[in-house]
Amino acid sequence: MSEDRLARILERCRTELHPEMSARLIADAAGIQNRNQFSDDRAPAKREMRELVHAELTRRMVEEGE
Amino acid sequence: MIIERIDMENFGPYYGHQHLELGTSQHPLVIVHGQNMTGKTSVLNAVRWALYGVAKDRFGGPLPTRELINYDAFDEGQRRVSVRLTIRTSGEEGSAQYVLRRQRQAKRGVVDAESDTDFEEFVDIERDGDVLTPNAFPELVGTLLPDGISRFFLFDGELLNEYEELVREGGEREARGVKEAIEMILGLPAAKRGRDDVRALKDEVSRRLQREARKDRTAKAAGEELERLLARKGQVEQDRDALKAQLREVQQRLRVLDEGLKQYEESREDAGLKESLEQQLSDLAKRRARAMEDRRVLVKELWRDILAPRLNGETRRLEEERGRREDALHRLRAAEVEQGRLEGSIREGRCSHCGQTLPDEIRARTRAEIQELHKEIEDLKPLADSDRVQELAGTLRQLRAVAPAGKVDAVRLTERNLDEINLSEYRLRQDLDRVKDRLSRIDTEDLLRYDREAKQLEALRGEIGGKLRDAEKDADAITTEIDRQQRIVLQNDSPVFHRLKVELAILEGLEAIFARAVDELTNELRVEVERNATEIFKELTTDQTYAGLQINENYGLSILRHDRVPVGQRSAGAEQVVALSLLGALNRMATKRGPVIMDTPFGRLDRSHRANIMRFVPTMADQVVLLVHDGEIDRVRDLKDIVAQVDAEYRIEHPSSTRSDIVPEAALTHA
Repeated sequence: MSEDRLARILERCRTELHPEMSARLIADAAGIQNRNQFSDDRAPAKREMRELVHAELTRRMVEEGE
Repeated sequence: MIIERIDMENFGPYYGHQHLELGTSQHPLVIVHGQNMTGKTSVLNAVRWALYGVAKDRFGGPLPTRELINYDAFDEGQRRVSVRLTIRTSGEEGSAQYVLRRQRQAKRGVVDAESDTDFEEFVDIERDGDVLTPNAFPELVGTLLPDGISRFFLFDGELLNEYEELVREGGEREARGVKEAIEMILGLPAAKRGRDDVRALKDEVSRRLQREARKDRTAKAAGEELERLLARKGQVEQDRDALKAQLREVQQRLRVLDEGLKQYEESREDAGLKESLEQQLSDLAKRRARAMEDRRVLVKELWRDILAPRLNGETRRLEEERGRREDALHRLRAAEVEQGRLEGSIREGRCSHCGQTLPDEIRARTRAEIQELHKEIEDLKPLADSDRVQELAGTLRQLRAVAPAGKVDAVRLTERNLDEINLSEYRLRQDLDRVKDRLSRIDTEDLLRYDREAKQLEALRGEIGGKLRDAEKDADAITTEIDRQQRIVLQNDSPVFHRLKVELAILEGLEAIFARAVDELTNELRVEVERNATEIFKELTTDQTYAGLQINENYGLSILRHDRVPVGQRSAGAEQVVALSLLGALNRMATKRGPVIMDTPFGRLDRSHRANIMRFVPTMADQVVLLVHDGEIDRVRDLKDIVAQVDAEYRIEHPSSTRSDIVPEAALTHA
């Protein structure tokens, strides 16, 4: 499965479930999971995911500030 | 990724240093020819062992190190075995060459190294000539070709059995391992793990929120409740995880037991097979005794057939002589009668027929005739020997009494029958030896224990499963209550609180998206596996009336007849074609590309299917290594259409029962 595939499915779910979620967040989350799918150590994936969520949070905070 | 070279030292039947150059991927196919029991599976095992440290015996169990070391080498006192793989990867970051080596040798001071604890292991890695730390070995293997999905690249008979479990009613338990591997190769864990990671992050934010809530008076009560609930949730989840771990352990033990029970099943079949083979051998012994008695009787008369050509010539000669002599006797008798009649006529002076007086002219002519007859009689006398005719009749009677018995063909038939009996006996004895060998490995005590333990574990698994469902229910109820309390807490409107609220909302959203993605991906993958497998199946099958394949929950595939009704009983050959279709589909859709190494892939196939599969195999992966025996493919006939796809060919020579050598095979010319 290409990285695009999970991203595409996630993107489809996003538009149906949470349209306010940014497409970038979904694509990056898919990329992280794809990259780490064969690794038993989840810590690096979780750290990257946390960073993504923070970036999304900052984006929304900035949007709200505007 | 392709394997450029395999170097083996004292591995299995390969004494000393031996290697296989597996090409440069200019052409995808490498073929290794070898008879049974000469070391084809050892090539597959060498790759498996180098990567994962495990080589499998023919029952799928791990081979002890002692059995990996070449017999002759061990006999000479060598206590080391090693395999080195040279691997090339290419991707967005360019190409790289890795050298991975695994070596086991007897520990210092250990003389009689027998058990695995007597050996120590070393691994080395190089990347483009630079030595890397050995600690990176498992991680690198996990990146190149993770063990969990290796079964789709290192393809042996065991995998075929696992595929059969995928479609067998009640075979779900046995199929679980391969189902998980299929989902892994298709990339489903990416979505599942994403969902789990997001859940973990969401719980972290919930805790931070709860801590923040304690600072606010209005939300304090809800915060305390939340704290209690989160603690309880933590406890429930801990219990649930412990149950999951127990369940995993039980399942793992069950898998091990299943392997044992599988041997038991096989041994039950083997016991029946042994009885049948022994019966067949006893029948053959009776047939042989009958055939030998027949031959004995026939051979008694056979000397006549052997003498027949000579006797025939003599009989013919004597018959001719008798004919000549009998003819002379007849003619002599006729001449004597005529002479008597004519002499009577002269004596009485009258014709013996009409009684008229003979004129002088007639009388003179009659005398002349008498003279001629006298001469003829004198000429015939030596030949017209009645004693000799009698003697000849006697001799001929004797010769006919020893006429050919006509037994030659019957003796030939009996000899052929005996040859067939001998050949059948040889084959049956070989089969019987194999079955006996398999049975000798089976410990009936062990089997009873397996059976008992499996039943206990089944019960335990049911019990843990029940507890796990209860724990999941508890966790769901607590989560609902947490959400309710959280809503109260979230009424707090401080900036920090607000930020945490937004973060939680993002994570909740992400969690829902990932959860949905798992379902979507599962369905999508299943449809796509079915589509790809059907496409390949139609390419491989010789029966074009089939509508295709139908996938089930376990990724098992059923063959659909033209009216789309699944075929009930499938032949061994059909199983293999379906398995190859699934394997091909998975390789097309895999998240990882790797070399495919197939051991005895055509064993169950007829010639037409073999030709179809031969054409398909080179398209399966960038590199396909086939380990085949001569009974499976005819090199000239089966490879002529795909000779352009063949990168290299090797033959395993087997100079002795403890050694094999890998030698390059002369290239076939292009068709």
